[in-house]
Amino acid sequence: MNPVHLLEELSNACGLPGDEGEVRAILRRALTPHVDEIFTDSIGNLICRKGSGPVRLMLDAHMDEVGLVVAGYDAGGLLRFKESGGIDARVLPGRAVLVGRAKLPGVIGLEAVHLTDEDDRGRVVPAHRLRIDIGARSREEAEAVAPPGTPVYFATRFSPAGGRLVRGKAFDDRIGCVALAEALLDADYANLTLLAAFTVQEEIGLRGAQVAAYNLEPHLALAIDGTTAGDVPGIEPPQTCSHIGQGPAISLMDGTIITHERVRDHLVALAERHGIPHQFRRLTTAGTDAGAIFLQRAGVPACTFSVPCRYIHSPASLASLDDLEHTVRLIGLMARSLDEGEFRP
Amino acid sequence: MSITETLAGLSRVAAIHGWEEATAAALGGWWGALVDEWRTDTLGNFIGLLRADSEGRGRGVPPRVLAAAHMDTVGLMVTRIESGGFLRVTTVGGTDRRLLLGQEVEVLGAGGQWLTGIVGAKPPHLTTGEERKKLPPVEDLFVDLGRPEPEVRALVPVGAPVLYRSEVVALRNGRVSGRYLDDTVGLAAIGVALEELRHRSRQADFYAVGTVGEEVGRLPGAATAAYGVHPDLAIALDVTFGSFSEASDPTSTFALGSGPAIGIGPNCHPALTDLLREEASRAGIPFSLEVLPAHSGTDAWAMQTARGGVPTATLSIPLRYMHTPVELVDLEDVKATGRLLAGLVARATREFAEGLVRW
Amino acid sequence: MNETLRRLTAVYGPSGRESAVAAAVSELIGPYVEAVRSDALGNLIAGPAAIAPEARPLMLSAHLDQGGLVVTEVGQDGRLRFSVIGGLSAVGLPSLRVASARGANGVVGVDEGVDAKDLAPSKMFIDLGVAGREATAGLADIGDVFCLTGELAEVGETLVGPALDNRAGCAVLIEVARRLAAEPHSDRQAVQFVFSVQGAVAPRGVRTAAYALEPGWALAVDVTAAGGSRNRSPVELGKGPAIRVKDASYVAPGPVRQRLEAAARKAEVVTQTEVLPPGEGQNEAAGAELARAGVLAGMVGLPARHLGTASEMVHRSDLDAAVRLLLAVIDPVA
Repeated sequence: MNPVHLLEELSNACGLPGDEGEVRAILRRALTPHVDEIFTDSIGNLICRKGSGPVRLMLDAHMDEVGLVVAGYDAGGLLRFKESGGIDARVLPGRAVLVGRAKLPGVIGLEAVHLTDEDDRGRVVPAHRLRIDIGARSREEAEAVAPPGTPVYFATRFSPAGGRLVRGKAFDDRIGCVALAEALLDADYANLTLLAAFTVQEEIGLRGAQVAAYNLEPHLALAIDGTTAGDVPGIEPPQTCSHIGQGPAISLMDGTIITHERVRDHLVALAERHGIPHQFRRLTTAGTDAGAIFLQRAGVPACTFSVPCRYIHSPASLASLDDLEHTVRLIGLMARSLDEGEFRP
Repeated sequence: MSITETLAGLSRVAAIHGWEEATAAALGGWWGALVDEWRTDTLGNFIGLLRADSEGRGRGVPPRVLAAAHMDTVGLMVTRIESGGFLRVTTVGGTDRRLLLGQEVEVLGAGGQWLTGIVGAKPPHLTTGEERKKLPPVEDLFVDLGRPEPEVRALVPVGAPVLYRSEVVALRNGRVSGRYLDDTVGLAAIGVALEELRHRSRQADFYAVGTVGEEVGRLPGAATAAYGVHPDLAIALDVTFGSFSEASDPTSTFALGSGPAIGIGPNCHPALTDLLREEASRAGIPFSLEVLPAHSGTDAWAMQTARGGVPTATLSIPLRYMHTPVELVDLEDVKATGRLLAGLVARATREFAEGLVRW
Repeated sequence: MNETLRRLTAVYGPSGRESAVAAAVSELIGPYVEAVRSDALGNLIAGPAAIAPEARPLMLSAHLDQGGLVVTEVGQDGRLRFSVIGGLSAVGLPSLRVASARGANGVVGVDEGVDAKDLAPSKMFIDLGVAGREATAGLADIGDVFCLTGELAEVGETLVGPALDNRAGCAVLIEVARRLAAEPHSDRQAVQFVFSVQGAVAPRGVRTAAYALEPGWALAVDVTAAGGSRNRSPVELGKGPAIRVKDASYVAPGPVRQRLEAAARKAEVVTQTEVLPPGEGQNEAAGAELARAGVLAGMVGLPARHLGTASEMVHRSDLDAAVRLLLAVIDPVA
């Protein structure tokens, strides 16, 4: 399993919250030969177990991405839609999309700029005024091809960028899925039950992680996400949040959790001891699955660390393969430390 | 009792979160006669159980199917008593403040009696032209009980609930209007399902649940009821937006008389959605599809993540003028929703329930 | 209670870093209970050594943590940029003294040229009194959390100091434990005291504690802002503990209102009723009530002024009344 190929496959795959089937199938196929048990639960999480030691370590990455959902039709055959997850409405107009699991090509159109008022030209076009055009000529034709609830995805294809950077959609959090898959491959820990949860519905409220953590009853949980990297012109730290190429971004806190102090400090100590580049995630808002996991049952010590990605929640993001590699190494070091009893949750 | 009378009865006792006991008691009188046993739980959810029939029980442990409609309503609450005996209020749930002015309301007195009042504000002939263009904020409104201040102080505690005062009325063509049809129509649909299920073969234990606290956001009733019952699958019966003009957004509104709206989206297990659609087609029940890309705005949201996860679905009854004293529904939609729910329960087998974890 | 509060307000304990204040509480409550333990998230739980599984104890909770300033950047100029944790008031921050776990002292400063009406944490910094980033080495780094410092003082009939949100609640619980231990009762309902983590941010620690303890009832003791506008009820200092009926995410169930009101009547404690408008207020009862199949949960508020500053103010008579109210809930007065 080549991690770049897996990232390419997962980035090109499509899955909105509640619609993670294609991503789940890829991961199931890739991981079944390498784990002891693989199963799903009622909400659709894919869980891989490796080992059966006394200490239960949960690794979490979410499978869903943000996108659009067909919700209505105009008489002329244009599709109306609703947003699924936190989409930046500024990036929608003039975008190529894929409609439905059959991935029919479509475009997001709007009236020609010539026909707009001067006032409107500087304004964001609200999503409810945009339409998806698949070339249908009537409401009936559109509804037959794209019934209500049809998912709509960004049509971006994965590609290499300069140096160790790659470009593609949905790195939040397919890159975390790759990190988990990589961490599972080499895993061989006598004292651990390694539980990798590929979760659903993170983007609409950390839904799958609640269910997974309740069922798995871990002693410790690490959530691996793609986080925003604002290392671009005009933004200064701490607003940058994270920087591409500077290693996994360890969360201090966000809107859903203040990360477990001892876990966080130990992650930093391990990274320093082994010379792994790392950084703190500077933003203290938003949320990751760790915020849902740590409140399950009688409480789970949890921490998030993330692969920095520029332009998340938009059609194309950039990330560094070095950051991915260092994230995988840090997961492995924490698992080893837990396995050897150096760290006790 | 006709369904209109049932709705009128439930509407009369409905109240905001924290005061759902009267509705639970009314359900005890109605659903109580249709189920094998019932109770209220710690937070006040009503939980009735209609067991699988003897043939169903003969097949092993029956699957548990939970249907929930919420007992609480939107409303107001007294925050302070001003000199003169005027009551200041704040909102509970998504009360529509555009129509509060001049509204007749009821305030729950300390002795348990409902006191009638009028929502007032600075009178129109004393307001400026600018002021009349804007809605007064809720804090500028007051409830006038028309009683002397000492009497008001003796009768009304801070924290007393305040509700719309309005009766359910039958309109033309089987349509009815009144206060708090959200979500008494959901409770009525579950009642319709219970009446039908008693005479149908069924392999599932059916839990008919009235929840507390749906309108306050965190869904405490649904979360704890689902934890306590631990169902194999759960359906939330609630209302959705009824269309009423050409301008109604077709992606979010549904015609009256078009039957229940079956939710599709992350809050709705696809196999349950499929079964509902198939059963509706088989039984000739009209339905539409409601696209719910995230939070369904119903109890299903909390039930889906209860314990280790519960497969959920939503059935929503089109309702015009939501959160006003004149909410309006078509009774055929209520009956169709109840029949579809009964059909689902009748088809819920152990094999079907067990298959819901396979994705 | 004054001495307890003097001690507790002097201990560092921002949200997520409660271990020092948990240790102080443990020492103070230890003599009055059979067992004290901490759980996976750092909640401190004090009570009987063992409870019959079906006993469903009464859970009394108060959050341990206080607000803080978490460092998110160390500037070239040595200024520490920060985000606010918990309910600290941004306008109240400038010129206050702060300290971190490693003992660094600082003062909150405001960037040059910022208008008073534009005050926001992003335009403030922590001044360590040294020049340049290099000089901050060993004093502070990203991730360090600074808390407001100050001494507890008696002002009129009140107590004033930092972190009374919610060390005042912790002190009330410790006093309840002391009084229960002084008058043992063989058939008394089991009481579990929970000193919870991250409660200044949201009802978090209390939720997992309630799952673990499976209480029949839960009461949270926390400070609440005195004052009022038309769409919230009036709550005043010195007028007694405030029974929370409604806030942004909670409505008191009927049995909770009735039990607290009955206890207040029997113990002759004057109480206030608290109703907050939409979007305002949070409390730990809202976390506890969601545990498992539901817990009847309420909040007893300690009226406070100047919340979110280094001079939070509570009234001594309200603390005493809250203790008597809780004792009457536990042992109904004949």
